[in-house]
Amino acid sequence: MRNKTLTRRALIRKFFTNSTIETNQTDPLFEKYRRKIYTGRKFLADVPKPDEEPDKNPELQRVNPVTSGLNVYTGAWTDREAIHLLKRTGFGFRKTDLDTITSLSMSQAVDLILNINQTVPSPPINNYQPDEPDENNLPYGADWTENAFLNNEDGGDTDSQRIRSLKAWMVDLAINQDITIREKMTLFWYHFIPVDFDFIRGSSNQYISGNSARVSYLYIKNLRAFSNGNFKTLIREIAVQPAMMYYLNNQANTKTAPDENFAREIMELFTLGKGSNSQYSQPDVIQAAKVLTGWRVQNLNTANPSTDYVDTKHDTSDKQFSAFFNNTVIQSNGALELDAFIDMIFAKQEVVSQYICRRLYRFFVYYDIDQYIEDNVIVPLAQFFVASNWEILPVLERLFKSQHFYDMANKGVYIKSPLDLFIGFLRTFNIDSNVSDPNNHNAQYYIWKIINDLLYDMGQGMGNIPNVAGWQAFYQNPSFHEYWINSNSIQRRFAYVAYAFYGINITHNGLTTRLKADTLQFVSQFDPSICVDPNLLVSECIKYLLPIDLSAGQRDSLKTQNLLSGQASDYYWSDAWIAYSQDPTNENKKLAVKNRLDSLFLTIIQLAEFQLM
Amino acid sequence: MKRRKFIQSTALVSVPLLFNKIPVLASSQLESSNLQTLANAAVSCGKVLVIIQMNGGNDGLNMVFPRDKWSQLSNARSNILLNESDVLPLNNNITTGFHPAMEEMQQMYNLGEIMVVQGVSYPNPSYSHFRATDIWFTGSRSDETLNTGWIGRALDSIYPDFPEAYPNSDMRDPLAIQIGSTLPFSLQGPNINMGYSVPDPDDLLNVINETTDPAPNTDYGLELTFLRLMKDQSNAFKETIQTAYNVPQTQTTEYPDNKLAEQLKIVARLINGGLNTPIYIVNHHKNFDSHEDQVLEIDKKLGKHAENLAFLSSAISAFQTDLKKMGKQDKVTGMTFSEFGRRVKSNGSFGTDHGSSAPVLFFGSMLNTGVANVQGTSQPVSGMIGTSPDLPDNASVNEQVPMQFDFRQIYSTIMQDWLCMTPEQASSVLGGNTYEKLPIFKNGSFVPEINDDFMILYPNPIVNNQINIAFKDFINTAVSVSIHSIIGKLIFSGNLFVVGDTLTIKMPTILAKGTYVIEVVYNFKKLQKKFLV
Repeated sequence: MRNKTLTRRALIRKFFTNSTIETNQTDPLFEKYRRKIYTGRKFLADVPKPDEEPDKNPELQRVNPVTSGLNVYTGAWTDREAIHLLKRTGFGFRKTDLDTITSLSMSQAVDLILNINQTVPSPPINNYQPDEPDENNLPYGADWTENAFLNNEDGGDTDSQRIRSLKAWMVDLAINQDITIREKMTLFWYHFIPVDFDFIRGSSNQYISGNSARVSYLYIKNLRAFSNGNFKTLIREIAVQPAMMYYLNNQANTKTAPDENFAREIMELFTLGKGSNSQYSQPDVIQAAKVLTGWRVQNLNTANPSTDYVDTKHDTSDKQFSAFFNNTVIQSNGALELDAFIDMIFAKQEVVSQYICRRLYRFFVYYDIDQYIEDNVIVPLAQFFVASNWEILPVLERLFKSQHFYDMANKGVYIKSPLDLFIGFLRTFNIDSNVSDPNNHNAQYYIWKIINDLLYDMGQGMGNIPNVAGWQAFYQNPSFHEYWINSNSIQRRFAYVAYAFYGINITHNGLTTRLKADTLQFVSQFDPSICVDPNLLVSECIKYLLPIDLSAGQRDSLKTQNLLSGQASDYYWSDAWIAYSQDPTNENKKLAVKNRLDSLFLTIIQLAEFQLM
Repeated sequence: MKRRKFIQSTALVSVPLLFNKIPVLASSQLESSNLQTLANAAVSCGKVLVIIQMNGGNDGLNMVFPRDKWSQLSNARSNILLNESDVLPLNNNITTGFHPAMEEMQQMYNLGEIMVVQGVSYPNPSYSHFRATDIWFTGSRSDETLNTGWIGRALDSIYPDFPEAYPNSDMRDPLAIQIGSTLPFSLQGPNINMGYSVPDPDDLLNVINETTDPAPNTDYGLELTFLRLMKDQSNAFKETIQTAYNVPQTQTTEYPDNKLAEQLKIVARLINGGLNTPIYIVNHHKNFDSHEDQVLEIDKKLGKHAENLAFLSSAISAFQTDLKKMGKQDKVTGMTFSEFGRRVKSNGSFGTDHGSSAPVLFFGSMLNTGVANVQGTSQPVSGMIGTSPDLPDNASVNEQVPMQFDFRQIYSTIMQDWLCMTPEQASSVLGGNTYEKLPIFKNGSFVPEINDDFMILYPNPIVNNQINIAFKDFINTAVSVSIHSIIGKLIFSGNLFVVGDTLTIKMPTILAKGTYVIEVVYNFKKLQKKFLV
């Protein structure tokens, strides 16, 4: 835990919010089975014996070694490549998304996904009235994000309701994302430059108790605005975002009592990293802390809190940095010192750009960066990032259009984050999380809260960051994505998906909503000629749900055991499907196909392969 | 904010009960638990039911032959009918015989370890595989659709609140185990499937059902292997299953080399290891949907159906032997079923088409077999409930094997007489309907005391100068027999072999009218009966 100043409340909170996360290190199964071999991204082609050719899966016949780089991908653009792109840039995907981008070229598809609509979504509202009236008497259904508590210690209960409202709202945006990368890119910034909502609520400020949810919202709103933005500008923005001021305590940084927390993390975590070429020193941290003195969140109890520069709290000495920063001296210049400091960091353009590109790679592609990928993907992408003047979109475009992104070596290797897994599952199966009465905000937000609780149980709740470095699956050597998995989380990951598949009833404020996968609806999206043929149907379902095709033998077995109920002839399924499609209201005929589809889908989503993308 | 208030508002509040160490939504899966069901629940009476499903519709007439209807059979299906002399006869059952591929099951029958329930179906039967399978799985009427399986409902009434409250100290083990990767619909409970699918515990993979591809030596393969191992090894049931699986057996049994036998071998090892799971489900790995080439044209006792029956017979026999070696034969019974039988009349492709009634076979050591047990009851043939099917002289194309019993009578019997559920629970599982039970299982003590009551002599007076004796157990051994007249004159003396549970003595000389005493020495005990001529 990096924060030095913790109030008692914050300590309690940190204890609770971290209790389920840090278990990997001591999980004996994880230690036993986690990957230990890192020999570079080489893939020996499995040389098939001629007589076993028919059952071999061509997708596993990977060539060695990885030779792809950032050149534009010119290979096949099939459903498989399109799904790969969609899964990596969104939380799962819907059939309609796939239809949209397969009608385009690869290049057009990437352009579409990066064409972010920056319309600000409707803010979170008072959904909690039926549980607990708003202490400001804000009406039920009203936007609370500009509704300030004026007095110290007012509104604490309402603020905790609003925090929950905010987390639920974030779940809603993820589930109801459009085809673009906006939500996933927002999550990238959030996981990379995070704040923990509950921690902010526990901060020591006289007005925080009623207004912490509002500053957390502002923080997320700002990140959303940068989902297609400029990285350097973003860093300048977050440096004075009220939420960050509390989270990393720059709020308490004064010339008489310097607090190095934010000064350290802005270099170590948000820009330069701790790589071998990042040689800033502890004296640099001390000097940076001096630069950052004097910034204070003001007007927290008004509609628009802001962070202002307060000259009397600023350290006016000259700040001498180390040789790593070319012995730069930032001279006393008030508020403008912050800009000079950020310019100085970004002048280390190679260090910053490579660090960010590695983070992007590990978030969107895979975690194992060997020397070849470092030289042929990271380094040139980083140069491009600098040349693009720290704009993020050109970098993403380059990456998602590259040969390397579509390299077989990068397909199916990524362990889904809980959001990828669960939100992706809800979206792919078109599981409706909307309540029947759109005015019942209380019931609606409760559903999103329940989903967030499930995500939290699996290790990734909205608004709950384990620590300032984010979720360790995205940054922690040596196991990275495997850190999502431990003895508890792996069981939850399978069980929660199965629950949502069978159906979860969520009852709140007089409404019961059933989240349930409708397998008949799912396959009805397919061409009828696919549905009627059990072989095509199995292949289609695998294509949607699993990253790599299964062997012919396993596909056949899935077909026979599920769609054919053990029968030997395909026409039993075909007959049943035709009978159902000609008489869709007949319960017997419907159930005959639905039972078998349920069985097929349940079997597929319980395969370990479903955890990968 | 007050501290108490804060603690209420943390995420912890939402973490409810545990399943496999998994907190689940209290509001979602938990329907209101029925306290009455809870109070009535018989939490496991230690019995195990093994269900063998034969997919495709099994031709009962080519498995359990009505030897007394041979001309009707010849008229209806001469192109697939084997030679009458090839049928395996059954002790004390002149009307019925087994397919020659079922030698092991013939022996089991003669030892009282098989019970044939004839003519099982339901009114207005469905001839669709899917619909008929769903009817058998759900226990529904022909004209209704149910969303849960009959075993799922039965388990739900024995073990309420699954999965939230399980595993617990009373039930550490899975409620139902399916060997393989796909959980059958029969195990679907009101909220969730009650089953747990077990791959080969040695490999952690569904190698038996060929549903797990090996992981390649790539990054994908490494991550896949990691996930598979973490999933399997962290399952709450994994430890009990693997522990049970690895309990050594003092005597090993040779199983035949087929996939059904492999599955039953896993079941046997789990039972040997003390798993308390009451339900196991295995699938016959071959299909019984024999529209064509059910038999070999050149030799009709061979062919696909014969192979299937040979797999079944050898696998069940090995399993039963294994159970006896481990001393668990009294705890386990097995049942075979298929979604329907086939028609009486064969088709032109050396096969048979979808039909309705077919026999259901039970196996085990706790069946209500034995001549002495069934003498004078409504089902007087040892090892068979019902009669050899009634067939017309000239079967029409759509002629069906007549129904004698409803499959829900079997379910009701299993629930009450084997799984120790109350009549009310059984009725509730079957939609509130009561189905008359069948005398499938032995009741009460199954180790009969060896005294004069241990043997029954029938009929008495004897007819045709033949003495029939039935023992209350299948003894299969030589006994010494002596017959005296009432005044003490020795009429007959000798050592005779008891086949199964019956001894038939055809007297070499015509006995004069009068009263006689027969004495049998078995297991060092002298048993006596008087009889009249």
